[in-house]
Amino acid sequence: MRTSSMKELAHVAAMLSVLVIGVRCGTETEEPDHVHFTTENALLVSERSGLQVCVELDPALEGRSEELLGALKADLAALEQGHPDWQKAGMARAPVRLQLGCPGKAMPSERLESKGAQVGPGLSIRPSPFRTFIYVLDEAKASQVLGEQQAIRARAELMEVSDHQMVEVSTALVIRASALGTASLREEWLPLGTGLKLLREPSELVNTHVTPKFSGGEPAQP
Amino acid sequence: MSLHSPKEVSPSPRSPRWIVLAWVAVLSVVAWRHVPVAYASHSHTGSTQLHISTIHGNNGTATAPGSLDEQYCIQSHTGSIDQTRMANFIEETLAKLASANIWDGTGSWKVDLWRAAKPCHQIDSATRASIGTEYHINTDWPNVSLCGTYYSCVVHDNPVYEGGHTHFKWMYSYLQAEHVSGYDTRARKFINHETGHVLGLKDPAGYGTDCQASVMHNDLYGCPSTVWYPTANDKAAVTRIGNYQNTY
Repeated sequence: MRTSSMKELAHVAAMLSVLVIGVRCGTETEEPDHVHFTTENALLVSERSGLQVCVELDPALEGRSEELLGALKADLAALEQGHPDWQKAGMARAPVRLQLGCPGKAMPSERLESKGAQVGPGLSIRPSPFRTFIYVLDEAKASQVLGEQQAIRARAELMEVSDHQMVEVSTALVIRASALGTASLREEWLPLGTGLKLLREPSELVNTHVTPKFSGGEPAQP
Repeated sequence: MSLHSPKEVSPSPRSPRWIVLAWVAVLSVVAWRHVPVAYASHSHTGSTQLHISTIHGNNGTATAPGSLDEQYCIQSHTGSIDQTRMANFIEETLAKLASANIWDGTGSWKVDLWRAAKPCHQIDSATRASIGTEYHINTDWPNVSLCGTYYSCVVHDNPVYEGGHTHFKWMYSYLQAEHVSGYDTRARKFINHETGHVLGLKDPAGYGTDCQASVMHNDLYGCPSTVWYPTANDKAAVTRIGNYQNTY
């Protein structure tokens, strides 16, 4: 009886050891050595649990950081309240998080094209938790970088999805400080920067200056 | 041979049943923690098929594009590739050959490809923003990650969540001049392959694997097929994407 109890105790001890070691090793291997792209929500990276936004302020605006961050928080709260896709797009999984300081810390200083611009880390094996990078410029810098525009969207982070395909997984918004708190930021630029449909679609523009088409020898069908 | 009474036989010591069950439980928990999570999806299925946002509709006419048609512009960045000749060649490959061999018209014209009359860089920025796909040709792409000096590559840009999934408003196909300068079926193979990515198709999982009749799975990827045009299989896959049957 005593021998049997000792054996049982030994078994229990061995089981506990295997359990602890096995689970701990399992936890270690589950630490994402790479992250996973997804199109099932607007966050684009499976490991992102909610909308996280990082902000870089132009050095000229440092004295106004509290005011500007407060305004941006209010703008994001308005988007959260007002966007019909907020929940479906995966944004509601966790509270919105706003952080001062972005990976790469690249503050744009040269004129940006409104299409195809790149601001931020670029191609990344492990994209950051930030879906959106916001760069706030003072008026002098904004004129230099944005020209007449209120804001410009750009790629912030790209992820490799095959040996010759990359996909934008984080969006940069470069905005002038005076845009904070405006309807156009809340209804157009913030949705654009978070990968949601615009709340106020601009009038539809279709380029009509195209070459005539006769597909397969027959006129193109609607 | 000798017979032994039961007392003489020393039975192998057996563990109590609860210990066996407990071991099974412990090992199951550990095994479960180590089973890899499957994120990969096969070439023509799954939710990670990156596609141009206009693929789900068609609102143009026979003579004029609509906002849900697929417009593209072309730009040569090298003197070794004549802008006009290459633009005509790409347009021919995508939309002017026999209908069985072109992407144009796929999915009951959900894929309705229209070439902008001007090169990309000559189009004003507001109009250019409305053009979904850009083809750029150069002898080298040192500033385009992954493309570099060897690959033609695709960048999926400007994501938007609509209809239960994210798709992309802007696509860029960066073509290596060496891949397309022959103006031949090899060149068409590259153009159609990269366009397949724009429309949502993926590469094979590995070199020489998942070979099938597809411009995405041909000899560029170690498969026996030399097909240079989108096959019925490719078009069926793109049609499914356009009809929301392959996305969530």
